[in-house]
Amino acid sequence: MPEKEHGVAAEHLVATLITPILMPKWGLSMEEGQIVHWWKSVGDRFAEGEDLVDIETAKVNNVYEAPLSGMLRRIVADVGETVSVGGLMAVSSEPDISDADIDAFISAFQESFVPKADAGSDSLALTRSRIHAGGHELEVGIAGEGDTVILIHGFSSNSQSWDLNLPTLAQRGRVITIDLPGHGASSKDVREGSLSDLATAVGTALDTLAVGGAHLVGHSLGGAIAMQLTLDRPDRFRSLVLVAPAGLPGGSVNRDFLDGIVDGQRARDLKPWLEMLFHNPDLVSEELIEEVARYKRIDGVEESLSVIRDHLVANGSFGHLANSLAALPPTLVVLGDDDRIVGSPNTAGLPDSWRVITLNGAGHMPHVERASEFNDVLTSFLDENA
Amino acid sequence: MSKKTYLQAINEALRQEMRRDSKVILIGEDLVGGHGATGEVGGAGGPFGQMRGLYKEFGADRMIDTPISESAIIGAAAGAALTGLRPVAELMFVDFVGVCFDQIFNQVAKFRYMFGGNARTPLVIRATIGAGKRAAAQHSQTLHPLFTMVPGLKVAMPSNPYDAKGLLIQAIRDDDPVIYLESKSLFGMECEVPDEPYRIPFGEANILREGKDLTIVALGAMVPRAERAAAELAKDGISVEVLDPRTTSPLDEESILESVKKTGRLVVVDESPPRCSLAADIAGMVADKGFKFLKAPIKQVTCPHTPVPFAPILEDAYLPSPTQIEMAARSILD
Repeated sequence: MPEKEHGVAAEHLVATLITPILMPKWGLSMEEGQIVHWWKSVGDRFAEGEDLVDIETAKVNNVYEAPLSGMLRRIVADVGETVSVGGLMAVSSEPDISDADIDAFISAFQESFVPKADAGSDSLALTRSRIHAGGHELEVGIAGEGDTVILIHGFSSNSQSWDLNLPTLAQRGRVITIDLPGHGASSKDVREGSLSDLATAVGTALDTLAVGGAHLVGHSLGGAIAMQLTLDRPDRFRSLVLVAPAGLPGGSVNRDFLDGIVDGQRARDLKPWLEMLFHNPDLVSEELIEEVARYKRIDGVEESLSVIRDHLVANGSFGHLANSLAALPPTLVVLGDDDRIVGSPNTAGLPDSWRVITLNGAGHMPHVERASEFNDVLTSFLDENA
Repeated sequence: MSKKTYLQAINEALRQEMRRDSKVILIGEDLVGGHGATGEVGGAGGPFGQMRGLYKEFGADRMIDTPISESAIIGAAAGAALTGLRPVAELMFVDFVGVCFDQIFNQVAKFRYMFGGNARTPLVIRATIGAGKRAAAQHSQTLHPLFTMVPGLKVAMPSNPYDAKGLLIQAIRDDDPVIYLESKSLFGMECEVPDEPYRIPFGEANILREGKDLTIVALGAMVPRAERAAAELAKDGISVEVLDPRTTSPLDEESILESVKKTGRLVVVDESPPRCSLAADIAGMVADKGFKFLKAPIKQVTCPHTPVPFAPILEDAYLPSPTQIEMAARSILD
């Protein structure tokens, strides 16, 4: 036994002479980094603060400076390899430590190392789940607690379009996002794809979640779906918020826009149509274009968007909504003054009890383009009707 | 959606296409187990593991392990494609293509043309390319220019896991022969890859970084290096656009010219020796069609005109480095 104890003590001693060089954490959302370039080779000495290794992360590329002076004994992560934050990139020690001791140190480290499952994120964390709803699999996100707001996005969009509104809403209560059939992370086959079919799918998902007495917020196509759903289940919703909605009397649906999004095959073809969504077209980044292009490349998406488009442009697809506005609960309409997608609805013809707010300098995406004004208007309306 | 490696992305594309279409078959050396194993247990799924787990699901009818004869692999696959299957043949290392030039260049690439458009050849030939893996001169080449110059072949070279899956699915569904080249040094690279099948159309360049001072066009494993150089240049306030053509045939000339029109400066990075490289090809195309946009000479960054060295230090020096790309860019900036 003394021999073993001696061995353990010696191991411990050796370990203190070996320094692990670990993947740093740059910024709240960094979970891992990829080795781009080692500035030192095995056997090289380095001084504290010297450039040691270039690391690439999802958001930044940077050089990692040596946290101490030493000698690079072993590179554990070669160029191109990805290492979790806190994971082992290399080992430093003086040359008198044997290779066998270095090996033992590395294998002991790797055995005990557990990467943190989720190193946190800048954006609001939604609890995600998938719900079966009438032949669809719908992706649902939930955050916060209390008075509940349900968010329904528009045509060819997804729940991420609410990213600038979610933190505010999750602070005041519970917020639920739903990816429509054929959209976002939901299943891509929309089947019939009519307004009532889409509304039924959303309603079924809300049944599963046992949501009652909630506020329903819909953007564009999602606005028409919200109206339909509220007419189908009049006692379910406390209030209705229509953001640049399709389906209001006097409004229109821009057929060229729908065709451009459905038919555009390449990212560059989609750009002019995405720019049409905003008052300020510079807001359309390459990332947004690429995101939509990536969505459109997925099997079934083009067919599904085409089916929904055909319903949207069919004559009279919204007629029944226009005739039933008085039956809706307290309703807020938020419009952009430069909306080239649904035009300018005839707000004078809306029920007197409705509140209509037009945000200046906004196109079809007022909740994105004028997010803070939108959030103020929305929360005060919700609070009044809570 | 989840993070997947380049290798997992290839595996997922093969698996999803084999599930979708029973006409998709795989043929090549050691696809299943290798080393004489029957493959049913612990199949390695190829020397790099792209086919791991596929044999268990699809069996011997759809995964054909062949003797070491590349000419037989491509010959059999060509016949299978002509008679209605959608074979994905594997050459393991692109360096082995020499013994099946006739099958590829004279047969596969010509069927549609010589039969008046009546023959379809929905064949994918997969092979690994690239240096940096200590595999020596006969297992490290980057031979995409050979295929690119033959009309009738399409050539894809993914530079990341997202592209690897989308381009492979497109290749399998394409009715023409496609050469699909996997960069060995990228196998461990990870990024977000949708779980669902998706296709990236051929001939659509990917703009990885927007810039206004200079354009870097890079291919395959050179793309991350070009991004690295661009990040360095950005520290000095130099705004670099990085463009990956994704496919060398068809080539997205429009996107390259549009970028050069914006920036006026071009560096082309290619992991092949300089003569008749894609760098030379793209530089020539821009000189021909976009000379009026250029504010400075076009720079080409390639490997030297030598075989890939086996000595690790020489092999590392052989590959275009981020620093070399950065220097080339600086040499044409004012």
